Amino acid sequence: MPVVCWCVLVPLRQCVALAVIGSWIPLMASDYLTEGNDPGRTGWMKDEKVFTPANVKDIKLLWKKRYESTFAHSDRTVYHTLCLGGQTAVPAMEQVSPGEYTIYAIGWDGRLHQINAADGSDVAPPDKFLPPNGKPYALNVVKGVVYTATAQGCGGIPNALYSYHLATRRASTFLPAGGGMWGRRGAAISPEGVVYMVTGDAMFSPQAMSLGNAIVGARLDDNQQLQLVDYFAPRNANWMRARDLDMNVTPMAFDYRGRKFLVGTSKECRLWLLDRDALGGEDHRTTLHTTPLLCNDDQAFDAKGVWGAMAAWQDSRGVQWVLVPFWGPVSRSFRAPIEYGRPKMGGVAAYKLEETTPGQWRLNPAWLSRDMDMAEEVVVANGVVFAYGSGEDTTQTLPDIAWNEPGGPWVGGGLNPYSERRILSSRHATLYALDGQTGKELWSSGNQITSWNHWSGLTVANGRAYLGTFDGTLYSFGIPAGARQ
Amino acid sequence: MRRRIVHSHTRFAALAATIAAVVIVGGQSRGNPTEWPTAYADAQRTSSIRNDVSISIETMSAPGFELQWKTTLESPVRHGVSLGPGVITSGVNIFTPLSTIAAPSNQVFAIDNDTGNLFWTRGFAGALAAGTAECPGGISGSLTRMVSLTPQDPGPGRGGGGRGRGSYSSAVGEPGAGVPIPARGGGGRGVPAPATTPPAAAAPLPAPAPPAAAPPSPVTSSTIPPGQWRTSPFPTNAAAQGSWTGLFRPSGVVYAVSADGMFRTLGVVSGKDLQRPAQFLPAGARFSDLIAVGDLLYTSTSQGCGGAADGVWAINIPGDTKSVISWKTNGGRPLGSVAFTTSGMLIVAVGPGTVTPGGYANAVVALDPKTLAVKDWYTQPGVEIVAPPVIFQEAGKDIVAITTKDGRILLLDADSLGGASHAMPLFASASLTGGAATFAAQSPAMWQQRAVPSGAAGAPAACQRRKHSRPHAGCSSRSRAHCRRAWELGETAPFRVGHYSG
Repeated sequence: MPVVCWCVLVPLRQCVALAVIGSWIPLMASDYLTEGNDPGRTGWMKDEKVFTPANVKDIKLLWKKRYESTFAHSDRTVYHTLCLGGQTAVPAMEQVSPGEYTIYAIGWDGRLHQINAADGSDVAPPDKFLPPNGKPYALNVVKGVVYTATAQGCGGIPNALYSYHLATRRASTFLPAGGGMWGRRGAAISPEGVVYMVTGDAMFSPQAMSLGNAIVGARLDDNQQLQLVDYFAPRNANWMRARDLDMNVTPMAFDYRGRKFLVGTSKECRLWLLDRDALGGEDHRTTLHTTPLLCNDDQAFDAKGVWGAMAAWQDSRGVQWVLVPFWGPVSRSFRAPIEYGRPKMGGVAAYKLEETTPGQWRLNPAWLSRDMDMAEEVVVANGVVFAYGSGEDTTQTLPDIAWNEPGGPWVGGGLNPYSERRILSSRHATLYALDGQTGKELWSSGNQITSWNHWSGLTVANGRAYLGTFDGTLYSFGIPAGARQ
Repeated sequence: MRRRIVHSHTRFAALAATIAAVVIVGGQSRGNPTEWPTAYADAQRTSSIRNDVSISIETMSAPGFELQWKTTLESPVRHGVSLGPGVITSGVNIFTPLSTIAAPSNQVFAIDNDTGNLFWTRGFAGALAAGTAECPGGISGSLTRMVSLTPQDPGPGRGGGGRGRGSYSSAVGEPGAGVPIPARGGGGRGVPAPATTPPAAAAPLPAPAPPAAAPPSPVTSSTIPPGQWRTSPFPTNAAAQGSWTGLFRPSGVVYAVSADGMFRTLGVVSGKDLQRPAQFLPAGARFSDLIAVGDLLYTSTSQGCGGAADGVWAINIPGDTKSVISWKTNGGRPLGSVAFTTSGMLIVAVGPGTVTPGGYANAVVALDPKTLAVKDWYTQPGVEIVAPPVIFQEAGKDIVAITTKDGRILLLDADSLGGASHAMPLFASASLTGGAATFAAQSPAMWQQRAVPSGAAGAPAACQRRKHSRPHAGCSSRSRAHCRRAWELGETAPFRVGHYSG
């Protein structure tokens, strides 16, 4: 049963209602129960059987439906673009018994809801987890514990990792003393139970116990309290802070050929390949491999860099792939063996994880996709890479306007991230299906999606791909039943 | 492999809030806030940066200062010159430190100081004549931003992220009580306390609070208001940027004069003309480094190039109607860029030449900044001035330093150039070249060691060290004589001379 709580902004009851859509799908189908599909946040739908590289050319718009998703403010709290209130964390689900699923969601009031996916009823009373009006990110549920992370200090809540133990109802937090922890897919959790998350702009100074612009790993101790176990920061972490190049992307934890890897990236737009057994090596700043820039030659803090969610998958030959969506122009220095143009607005790059010499691991470029308008999350299903361009105006500063241009003159450069401006200049989202081996475009939604989206996320399961847009419309693209044969 | 992890532990020390506040305030600066808004750094042309977060004796004594990047700009050499000096804006698009550089090829380049990447380039229309060494054509003077008359210590950096939150920590709550939120910053710095569960009473769920990052009230609309503009958008950078502050402050403008003599106001974000270009100088004029003070932009012209008389020129910056004023030397040619005293008097050095009635040569002339009328001057037979002036303050007085062809440095009281006779400097050094060489025709540099407080009333601070109350104890042997002479003269401080040839 797929989770289709695609939109982090819809009221809880509607999200729950949406979660039960598709319950007719036969048993033995694949589940997509959490952002990125697994605790490690790899975005790999291992169990997908319907989509194939051969049939995705037949993808059609199966249906679209518009949902009212206005959040009714119930108090006098001031909401704005960064602290928007409402339900911000993508829910997660667990199969509690054959055919029975529980949805975990955090309401605007910070309470954790446990809901029966079959009928929307409460499985347990909503319980205190976070203070209200925070900005938690996608939930991750592992071994009876719900994890999330928060950003922007919304609601006065510190930027931190949080856990809620379902059995004991004890909630814990780890505060890295960094900036916002705003990785799209929330925290990643390794098989060892370590919770990894990026920290946004703040000073990196371990001596001062400040872990800004870093990847931190924490784990619950016997007291069910999150404790720091490891961390990594790139050598230019504090320069990245000066340029507002946050660590902003959920890292991916996966194993390959007996090694425990973690891959991270950021707005700076390069990848860090890390060993989970010693994150960052002796000095916490050494990678297994740091790639050159993939994008963002300008090192701009907005509209360029990696802002979406990566994917990691293995093909039938055992090749380990890492996929990276990005915003803005590809780097002038990035070259891949297969390229479908030189993206200007964004795209997806594929790397192969290779052991070039014994013990020496590298991420080597394999292919570069076509141009995509602000490429966001990537999901891989049965050798097909699904990616989408959000079409959003992602600029956050005003441009100069010449004296003889319409609206001019205007002295640009000041911050203006507000919706009123960006909504007007946003385009429309486009969903793509690419060949996982080559990056070749196999299908796209073209102009069928008429609105854009902001961090809405992509869900893929059972021959369907779901994408929500700013206007409250949920699109379901898939292989018509007749074409599945 | 043993790696050090300082485990976090829950602490609720009362000190934490104070420490966190300090961290947050300290964290307001992101990049290096130092700017270089005009040629030679400031209105006094001191080539001196008073504070820099990265450059100090200590940091320069350690390894690490090295070539970070180099980039080649497509700027054809014209008569030996390819690029002029740049001006630096620390926070373009909030976080980018940017150099804007004028090139004789009638182009302006904007370079990201961190990466060397070309941010934008602007080429001005019109074919350039071949020119000569004396009259090369093209852009001959560097760009400028608006300059304060009084030296500014760099303030906090743009951006104001500063989201540091003290020290890392963790906490766990009681069953059903939700997560306890430690005070901002968790615990204070120091030896971590054991991991403990705070008592429930100490960990209440906070009441709903307004967002921490609410935008400032001046921004009421995020759309660009059509047609909305102030009547005088560019009197100063601050005014051009409106009343917005911090992240919301626009990046500002840089002023240029193109080869056709047009005055241009370029947005530093794009290089676009943000004002209608206005004729300022004759096309082909050879003009010095620009400087913008108050409502006016100034330069000097020399060699009579393009038919522009040797003199000082100014154009008003605000408004659509531009008026140009000028002052002719009727004698020598202006030596490089003009400077300003802290009170706003324009100072120009004039080289040798044939003087017509009312003219000046081998002189330092003070001009009224609004009218360019002569207010004062210094000239002395036998003294040939070779470089633009540098001005510094000592004990509240502006002192004009100039260099002479025979290798001497002259100090003039800016309030009375040359005294009643217009021919008497405050101080004249011995020839630093021994008469065998001359100073280059470039502006000297000047710095003052302000950090050491004066130990004796009235003593020049730079001539002392804290441990020695005796004047001159802190001076090098070479500068000690200067100190002594300055001390005897009264208030002047020692200075260091750059651009020394011979």
